[in-house]
Amino acid sequence: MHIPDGYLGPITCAFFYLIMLYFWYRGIKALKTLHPKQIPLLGILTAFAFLVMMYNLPVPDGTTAHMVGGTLIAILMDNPWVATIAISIVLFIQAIFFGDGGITTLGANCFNMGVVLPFVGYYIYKFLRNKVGDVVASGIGAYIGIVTAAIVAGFEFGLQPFIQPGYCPYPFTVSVPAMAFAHLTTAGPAAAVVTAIVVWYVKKTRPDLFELTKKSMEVS
Amino acid sequence: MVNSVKLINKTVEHVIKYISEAVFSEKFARNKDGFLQKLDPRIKIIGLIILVITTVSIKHIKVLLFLYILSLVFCILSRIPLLYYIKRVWLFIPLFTGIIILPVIFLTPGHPIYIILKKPYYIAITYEGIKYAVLFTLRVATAISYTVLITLTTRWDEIMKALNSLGVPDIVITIMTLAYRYIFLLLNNVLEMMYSKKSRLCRNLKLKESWIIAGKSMGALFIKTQRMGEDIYYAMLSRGYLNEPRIFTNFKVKYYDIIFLCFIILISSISLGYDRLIL
Repeated sequence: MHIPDGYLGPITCAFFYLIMLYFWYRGIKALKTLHPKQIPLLGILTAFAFLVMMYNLPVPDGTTAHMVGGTLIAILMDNPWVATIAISIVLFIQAIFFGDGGITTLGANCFNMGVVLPFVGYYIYKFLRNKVGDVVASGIGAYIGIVTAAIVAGFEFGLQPFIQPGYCPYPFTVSVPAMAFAHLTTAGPAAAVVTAIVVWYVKKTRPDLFELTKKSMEVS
Repeated sequence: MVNSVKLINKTVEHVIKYISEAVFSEKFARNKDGFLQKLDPRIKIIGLIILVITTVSIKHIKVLLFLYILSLVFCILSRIPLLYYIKRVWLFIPLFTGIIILPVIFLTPGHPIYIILKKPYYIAITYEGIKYAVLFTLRVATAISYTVLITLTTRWDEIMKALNSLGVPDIVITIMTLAYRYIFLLLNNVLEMMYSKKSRLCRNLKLKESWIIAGKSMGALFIKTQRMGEDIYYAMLSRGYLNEPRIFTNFKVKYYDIIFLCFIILISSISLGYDRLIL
């Protein structure tokens, strides 16, 4: 889902940078209210978010898929803004140092994976957790989160030919189904199962941690 | 079973690729004689980002080709092995882009070059289609070329300091610096987890099993990061951390840097002007 440089035109890129300015501003404001103790933790969590993307999950079609981990971090830290900041930093590091994604498309990528994905995933989890339990709710949240983010990315690709031709050439009748299908059938289920298992594992082995993060975040 | 131990093998491969790329970049960035390495990091980052934006805005192959060659010239002047650079740029994303864009060759209406089928459907490779595909792929590759130049000629701490003096808040820089430092430690952790799991396997993994193993390993990693976060905080406190990071910079803009920036602005305005007004 990392959009490389050159896929989106300058107008689209500038638009998403403008949108992200608002979210980054809100995110940094949320950071400043955190206890100083949580700043190093956030640094390490960002590294964790990076690592989550490194796992190559085998998927049914024989290839491998990646998980973004936005929903996972939002759930584990009980704060979607933390995920926005962590994922944005990860995307920046990936774009600059490892050539995944791009500089001009950073705004769009941060919007898809750092805003849409964790917020959708997290609020679905919140909504469902008292009905179906933490573990199942986190899986469903992760699934819907990643699929929504993929569809949004598909729309970005698909609107490009109408805004400025010469970039990604496929209209959204092609790009949205393509992105949605891949994530509905392969990356989505993998992300859902893995997220649910992480939540189950952390709850089982360190239930204190799960509750603790929640409390300390609420206090701060 | 198709999925076998793909989780482990592929993840290990991916992790090692990242580590070795980062190590290689540092090696070139430390070469003091290179053209780009000598520049003030702020000026260099601004200059190269201007070139990336210019590249993304260009609409003609000729101009793009000129910009691509310019990136190769920068690479040679910075004493980066040309072959390594080209390989690093082209492998994966531009290659992948080339495949994605392939259908456009047949779908764009225009002058046919080679007619594949006349009946029942008319399918032909068109001149316009090829032009579109080349333009698109070349644009992606050129943009990546300039981005890779930033990495290859600037050390991580220099990029951080440059971003800080360009207005990125201290708190974000602190998190980024911590994150980058611990990425490598955690990458090693993941490698060890993967190796130890692999050494205990005596058969292939099923799809679901591999997801469960990935989930457990991520969970273990999360628990580790939680503890590490606390340890780091106490380590920082014991060394006199006052909740406000101080970032020391000793960047000085020299004539050399100003000439470079003027050159970049000139190049990008000429390219854009030529692209929009003349061609």
